Amino acid sequence: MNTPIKILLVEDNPRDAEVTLRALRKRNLGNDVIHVKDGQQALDWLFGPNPDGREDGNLPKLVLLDLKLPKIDGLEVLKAIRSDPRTRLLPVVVMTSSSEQRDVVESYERGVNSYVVKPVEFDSFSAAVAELGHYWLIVNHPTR
Amino acid sequence: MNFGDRSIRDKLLRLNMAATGAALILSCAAFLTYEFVRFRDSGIRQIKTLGEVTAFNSTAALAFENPGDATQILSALGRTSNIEGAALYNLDGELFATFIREPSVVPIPSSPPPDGFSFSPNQLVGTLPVLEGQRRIGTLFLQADVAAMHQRFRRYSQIAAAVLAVSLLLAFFLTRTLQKQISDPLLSLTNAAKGIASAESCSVRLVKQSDDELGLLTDAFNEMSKRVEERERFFRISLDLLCIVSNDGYFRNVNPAFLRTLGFTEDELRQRPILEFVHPEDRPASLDATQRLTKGELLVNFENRLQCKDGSYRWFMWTSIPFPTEGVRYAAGRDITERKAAERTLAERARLLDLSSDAIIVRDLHNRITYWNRGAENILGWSNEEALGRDVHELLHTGLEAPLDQLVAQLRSENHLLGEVVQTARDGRRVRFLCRWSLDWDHEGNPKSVLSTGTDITDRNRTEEAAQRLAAIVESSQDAILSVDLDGVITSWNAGAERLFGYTAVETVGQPLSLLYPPGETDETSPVGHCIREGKPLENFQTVRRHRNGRLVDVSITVSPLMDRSGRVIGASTIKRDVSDRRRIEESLRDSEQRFRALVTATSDVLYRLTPDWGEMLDLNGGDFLADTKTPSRSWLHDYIFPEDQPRVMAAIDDAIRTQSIFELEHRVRRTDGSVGWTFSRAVPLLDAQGGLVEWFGAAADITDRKLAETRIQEANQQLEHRVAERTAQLEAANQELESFSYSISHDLRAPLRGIDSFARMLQEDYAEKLDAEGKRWLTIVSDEAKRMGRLIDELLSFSRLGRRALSRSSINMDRLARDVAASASATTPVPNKPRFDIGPLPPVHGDYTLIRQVLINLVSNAVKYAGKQDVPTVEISGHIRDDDTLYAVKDNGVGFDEKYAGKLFGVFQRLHSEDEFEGTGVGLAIVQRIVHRHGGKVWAESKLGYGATFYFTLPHHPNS
Repeated sequence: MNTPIKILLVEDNPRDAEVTLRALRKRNLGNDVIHVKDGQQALDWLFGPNPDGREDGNLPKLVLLDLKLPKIDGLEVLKAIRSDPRTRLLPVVVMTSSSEQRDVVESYERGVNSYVVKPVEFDSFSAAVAELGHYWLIVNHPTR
Repeated sequence: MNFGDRSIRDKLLRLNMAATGAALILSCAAFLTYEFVRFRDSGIRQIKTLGEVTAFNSTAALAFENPGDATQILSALGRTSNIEGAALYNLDGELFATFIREPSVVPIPSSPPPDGFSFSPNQLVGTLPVLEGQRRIGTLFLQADVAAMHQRFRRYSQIAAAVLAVSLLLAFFLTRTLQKQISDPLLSLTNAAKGIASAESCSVRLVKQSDDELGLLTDAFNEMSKRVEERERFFRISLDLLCIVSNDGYFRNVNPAFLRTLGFTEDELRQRPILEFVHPEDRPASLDATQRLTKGELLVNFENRLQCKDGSYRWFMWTSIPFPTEGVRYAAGRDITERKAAERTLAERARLLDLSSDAIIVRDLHNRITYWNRGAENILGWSNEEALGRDVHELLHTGLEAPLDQLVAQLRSENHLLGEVVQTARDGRRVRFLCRWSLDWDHEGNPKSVLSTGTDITDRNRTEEAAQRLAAIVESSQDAILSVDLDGVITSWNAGAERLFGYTAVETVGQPLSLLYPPGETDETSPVGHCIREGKPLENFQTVRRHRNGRLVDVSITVSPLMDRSGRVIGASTIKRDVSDRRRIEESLRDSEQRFRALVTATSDVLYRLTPDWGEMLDLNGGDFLADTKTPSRSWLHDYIFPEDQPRVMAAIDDAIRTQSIFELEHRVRRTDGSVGWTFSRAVPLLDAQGGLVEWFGAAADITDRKLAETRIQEANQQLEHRVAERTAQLEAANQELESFSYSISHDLRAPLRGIDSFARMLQEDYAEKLDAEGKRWLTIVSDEAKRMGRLIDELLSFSRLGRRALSRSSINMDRLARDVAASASATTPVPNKPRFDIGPLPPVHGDYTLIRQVLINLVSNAVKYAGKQDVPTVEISGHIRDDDTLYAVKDNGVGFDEKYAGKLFGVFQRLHSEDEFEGTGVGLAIVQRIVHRHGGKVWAESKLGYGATFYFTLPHHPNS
């Protein structure tokens, strides 16, 4: 039986994705992650018919969203998530390399729950991912 | 001594003793009486009871006529000590049985006395019936001794007497002691009152000892004594003379002021009749006053003089009240000697003021007249009575030079005022016064009244005005008017003469008239001189006179002799009219014409003339610019004006003709060679004497070159603007590119670095056992280099952001900021030795807080970094305000740098030390420079290799700070 997906990781950089997944695995959160590589895939997985690993009506507990994505970029994805009644309240955390003020402001204006700049250092990056997963999946109390 | 005359103490004692004695005696008497009655009653009751018992016991003996038994029964009575004798009688009254204690003492009556009890002096005798049932069968007689009873009663009496005596004695002592409570205060009151009465002392105050009537009396006495004392003090301190005078004409009592004022002692005053002190002249009036007082009349404000000890007299004003029943009068006198003197002075002054022929008027601040001298009366016609109290300006219709308010203000500030006023006399005459107003102040320094003295200058003014008018006529005359005396010496010289001859009055008055003669003419030869000497008139004599500059002037001279009041000739006035004017005008016209011709020839401008309606051009002198018009031409518009500009020119001409004002226009013209040129043309209307338009005279300048230059400049400007716009666009584009470039760096360059670091680390973590030490070290280097690259990118980004961010300026406390930065730099910069900081005081500055903080962070952490290898690293931060900016310096004692590389310090990625020696990215100082430059400041560094470095930066004063 499929365990319900808890984290949707939207990340085009396979290296970052690998490091992210490794960090989540270290916290035993690795099996509940689906990784998509662009904005289109993310939206398809969230709203399309019969996506891989998602049962109908089941939403992930967290979306980890990169901003700079092929096809549909992260801000667009965020906008789509926030404008759909089903996913309006879905926790979305932007994880990006950009610390540009306009990206930060734009993300918050579109209703992101958290904005995390990916640290260059592996340790900090791993720690950040692990803490994010822990917080949103275990500590945080979501809407039903 | 009468009881009423005894002392209170005595009276109280006696009264008290009498009352106590009477009460005690009465109670003793009542007691004794009661005791006496009670003894008798009890005696009787005792005998009666005894008798009744005996009678009852004797019934049988009587009834059975047994005297033996009866005697026995009676003898039982002998046991009762006081029964002296007893007897029983039968019904017939016969003695039946007896008992007698001592026969000598007791006589037994032979027949029974009537029933009842009675006392004899020593005995109580009782008779009572002997009854058998209700029937009387005999009589019993008893006789008792009452001596014992009497003895007891005597004892009681003695006790009562003793009690009475002791009580009285006690009462006496108590009264004597207690009556002091009442009599002592009374006695002290009495003594104090005696003291006051004998005028020994009024300051006696009694101590109140109780709140009863005596206490009240003490209070009342103290109050009264205080009042008396107050009056006495007033009496003593009064400056006025106070006295009590007997009706016999002697002083009875005088106050100290009296003695002080007159200098006599009290005794001296009392010894002589008062009248002797009065000035002989005042004696009749004083005698009269005394008589009126004696009749009981009140005397008020009576004035007389009294003699002093030194023989002088002083004036006094008296008020006196008679008290005929007491035979005295009270009098209060005030020393008015000085007032009298002042009054006398015043009266003298008033007389003096009245002597003045000026109008002297005093008015209060409401303009009401309070003084009006005879001079005012004479000049203005209002009498003193009429004028006093009236509003001065209303009464006199004062005409002032300036508004009254202004004058009053000026008066208040300057205290006095001098000016002319015109006022109206009672008969309507206008009087001109030369007036002097001055403010009079009261002793508190407030203005009280205005004193004005006015000299009547009406006549003076009229004469002066006439003289001034004449002088003005003479002064303003175009002719030269001068006067000379009989010797031909000039005595006056008007402005006309000054103009005509060039000499001023100062230069000529006192000089001989011959000064003006042309060469060769003398007083002797001149007909004018002759007439003056002879006192004869001369009219319109045409001759020549000499100007100061030597030029000869054609004049027409009129001489009139001057006479004094007696008709004696004292000189002459001569009027000299300049008749050389016409000639001079002609000459100047000629000059003008010549100058005009010269101008026409010399000018490079085109000159032209046109008919009043601009219909015909009279002539045009075109120079090289335009073709000449030598004869009048009607085709000038077509000939000269560029077709496109013709409507504009015509509109300007119409406007100039309509307003008869100057025509002025820049327009294009056809030049001599047929090309188009630019001209600036200006034409003025020439008017005749009646204001009629005669012609237009114009000048046109060739401004072709200027216009050309202007056009070129305009074109150049446009090109410049175009270029600037182009450059700006290029710059904006470059900025845009730079921004997207840095955005890419921010996003894209960091991702691979993260990859490098992450995978190197993952390799280290997951495959540690497969790597030897060298392999692990290399992986660490890979990781470190990736991180360093990350830092470089971060700093480069923040450097590029500096260019984009708008400054947000505020006032910065540099002192505090520097200390914060120093603390954190010391903590975060890894160095072998922590430095010692020497900071400030630093002046505050106006700038972007975040950026200035960055400047300090970069400079201070640099200093810490480079000084950190010294044994005792020190970092100094200092600052001071200069004329245009504030200078800050961060100085370290680190390795320093070679000044020949100073220029490279602030470039991006420029480093003077290897990464091995000192860590760094080479962006910090570039950021510092960029921030300081953005603030409009300067940054530089000084150093000597091995001797530390000092980094300076300046921040300009903000216009608002």
